[in-house]
Amino acid sequence: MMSIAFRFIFFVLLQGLVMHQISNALSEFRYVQLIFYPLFISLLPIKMNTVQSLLLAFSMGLAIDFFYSSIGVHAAALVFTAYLKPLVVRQLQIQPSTLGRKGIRIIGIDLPVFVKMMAVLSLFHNLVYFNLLAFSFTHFFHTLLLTFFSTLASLLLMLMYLLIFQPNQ
Amino acid sequence: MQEFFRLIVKNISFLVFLILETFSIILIVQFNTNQKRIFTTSASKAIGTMVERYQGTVSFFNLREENELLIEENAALHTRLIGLNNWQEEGHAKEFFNQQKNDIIPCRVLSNSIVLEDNYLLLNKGKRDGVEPQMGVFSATGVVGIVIETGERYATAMSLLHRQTRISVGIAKTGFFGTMMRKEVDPFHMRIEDIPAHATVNLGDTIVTSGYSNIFPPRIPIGVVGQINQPTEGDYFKTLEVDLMNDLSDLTYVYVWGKKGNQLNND
Repeated sequence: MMSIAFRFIFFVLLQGLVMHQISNALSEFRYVQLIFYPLFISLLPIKMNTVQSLLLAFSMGLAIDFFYSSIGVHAAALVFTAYLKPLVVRQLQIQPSTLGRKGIRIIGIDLPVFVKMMAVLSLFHNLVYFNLLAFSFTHFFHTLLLTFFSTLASLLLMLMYLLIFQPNQ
Repeated sequence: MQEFFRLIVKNISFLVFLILETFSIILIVQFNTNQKRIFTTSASKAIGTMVERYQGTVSFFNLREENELLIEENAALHTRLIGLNNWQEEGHAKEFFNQQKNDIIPCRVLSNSIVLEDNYLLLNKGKRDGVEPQMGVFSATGVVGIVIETGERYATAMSLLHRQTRISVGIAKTGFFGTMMRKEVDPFHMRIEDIPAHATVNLGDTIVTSGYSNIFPPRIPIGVVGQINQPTEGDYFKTLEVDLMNDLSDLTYVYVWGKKGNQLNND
């Protein structure tokens, strides 16, 4: 529980201060924004009550929204991601791997499987986020490109985070 | 009842999801200007289409009343036309029409309110028809409001009954002018400030637009003076209270005072 609370604050600050600044600096590459915090939802225990994770997602999204002064956008996207997670877990048939096998394990899941889930969640999160940001389908192609490249860049960062910290709780 | 609760408990996560999403989207629309603008234009588009269908059906039953109004208005227009024809004989009419920089765009009011602090009208003409923000809206009996937002086919106008209304008006007889604004929550009266203390104003004097801003043509009637508040000592301006001529709660057709040539450019 402590680790989740700590991670919550850490991710909000990381996204709101660091990633936000880097994304602003990157703004000449029009299609890249670093969206790191959906990793928080992926890192929640897969057995966690959905209502709890929804509430966590909402408060985290809202907290980040204050840094971005775009009230509600991150919150809506992250709530969507949190709701999607159990469905993705069921669809990909993700289970905590049995002990004794080699390789890195993240919250009890083999790294490749975890990355797969993380990628799907991140992709959907960004799709919702950028569409809410545009709030219209007139520039849908632009939004798609933004989603695609941002997801790629963000996934690299998330992978680095996983390999460095190897959170296992 | 038990079934109902069981259903709720079973779908609790979905319900929480829906509530949180709705709440977030309300926040988005409420606090982000860009999204708010898109939301209001699309909402007015959707609602406009619905209301237009509905009114199309209902207006059929009001045809007689509408006809009478149109005839009355026609009569007034004819009177003015006769005046113009007289002028034409002097050979100036062509020049007069060429000099006119504005077009009058007739619109139907799709929705309207008068009870709120800030009231808005939805009109059935948009960019396509040459309606643009900052154009004045008036009806046969007087000033109605100002267009603030236009979509492709619909426009939103802020009514006179809006806290941000500031209209440059004058007293028809003497030409003294001031600024008209909203008087709290009263939908039938407005307040005029900045009338100089030495101006002679009588109860019942007609108030018209001054034409100093390009939003309204000059001399569109607004109302009559209903109350005069003399300036307190040390103040140089009077405050007037105006009884509106226009019944803003009962508007069907209005005119937008647009720029000439907009329609042609769009075609």
